[in-house]
Amino acid sequence: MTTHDYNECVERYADALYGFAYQYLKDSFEAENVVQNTFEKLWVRLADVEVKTAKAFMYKITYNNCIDIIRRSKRETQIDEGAEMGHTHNDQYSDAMEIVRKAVQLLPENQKTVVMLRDYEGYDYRSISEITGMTEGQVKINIFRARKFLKSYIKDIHAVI
Amino acid sequence: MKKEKKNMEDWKKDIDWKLFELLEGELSAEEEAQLLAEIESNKELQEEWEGMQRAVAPVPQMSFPNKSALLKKERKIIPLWSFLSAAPVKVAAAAIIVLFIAYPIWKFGTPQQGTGSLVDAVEEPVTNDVLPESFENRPSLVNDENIENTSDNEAESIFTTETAPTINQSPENNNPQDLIQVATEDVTKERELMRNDEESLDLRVSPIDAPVRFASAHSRSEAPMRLYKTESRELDREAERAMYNQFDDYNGVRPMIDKGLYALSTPFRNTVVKVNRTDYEKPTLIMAYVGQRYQAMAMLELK
Repeated sequence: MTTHDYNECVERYADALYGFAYQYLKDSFEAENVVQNTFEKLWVRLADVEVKTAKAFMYKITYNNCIDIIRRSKRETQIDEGAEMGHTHNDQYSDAMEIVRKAVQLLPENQKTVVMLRDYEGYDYRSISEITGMTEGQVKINIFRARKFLKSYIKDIHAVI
Repeated sequence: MKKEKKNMEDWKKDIDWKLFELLEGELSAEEEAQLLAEIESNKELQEEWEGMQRAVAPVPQMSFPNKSALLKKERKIIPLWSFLSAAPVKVAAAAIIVLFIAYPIWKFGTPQQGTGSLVDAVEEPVTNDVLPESFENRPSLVNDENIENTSDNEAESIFTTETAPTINQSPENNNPQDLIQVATEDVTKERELMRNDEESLDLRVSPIDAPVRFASAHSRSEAPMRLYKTESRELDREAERAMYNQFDDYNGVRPMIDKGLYALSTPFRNTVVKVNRTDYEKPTLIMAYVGQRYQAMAMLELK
């Protein structure tokens, strides 16, 4: 990659990475740090990273950074498999997209990761597998579980509203 | 892996799995058409399908607040070929090439046929013989009117001595490694002299007024290079004989000459040493010695 390619990556992916990190961390400051760190690592390894793999490279770094921060701050969402169907929703939602965003935040980290990579960036299972280190089967099942949860959550919310 | 496969199969049994695969585009065209037809005909399934379609995370519309800080300045890399193709560089490169070609031609002139034996003699390996200490007592014969072994006119014809300077000695400088340094000559001062056209020799000499510096183990001397003219090939041979035969009694003369001009300063102290440059294939200095008994010339290849 050249400096020009790097700057292209900044222009094209900085916002998306920031949104991705923010969805994880719910902290704009930390999300910003994560993105900066990601691009620093990209710059350091500029000669090693090819243009076509740069996006996945950056998402992987961002993902890992976010996981590290969450683990460090112990802010990981405590939603397990058994809690999927037992969620409660007392908040009032006026916007359907907000409901889904909120629901995404309630997902376990592995499900949140795969569904964000799938829906935000349109990655296929293989790319998500490479970024997250999961198998493609795990990726698919996690996406399915996430969608099933979101579907159920949205349905329940609408039932309340 | 087995557990994973089993889970996958279990999920496939679920209607949500089918709807999920439809949403993900994982179904074949036939399966997709079949499921869509089923959804069309089943209201409950239709609601499930609508719910699945909503279970997609909306893309956050966020902007990184300090994107410009992430950008790096691009450095322009000018390819070497591009640099070399620049006009000023072309001119400079051409000038350098011309200098490399022209300078040796200018400095040493067109290669000429030498006197043969003298050049060959000079090209013998240089020895590291020690200079004889007794040479410093050799008498000065520059003004000696009784020159032996030379006819009346021969000595004059071999060497023009009228303006020959005496070596200026500086005994305090004793670095034998300071060998000959021929100063840059002014090309306008060069002129080719051929004596008596009909008797002309292959040897051409050019006057150079720039001083030449030479040193011995005992002294460092400096003298301007002056013109001298050779009379004939025979005289050259005579000088050669004088140098290699009659100088034999000067123990170590030949090694001294072989070693270069610096070796001459001490033994020929108080004598006239004329240094000339000739236009041979290799840069060569002609040294002329006019002594009490002998006259000699030597051509020394400059290393």
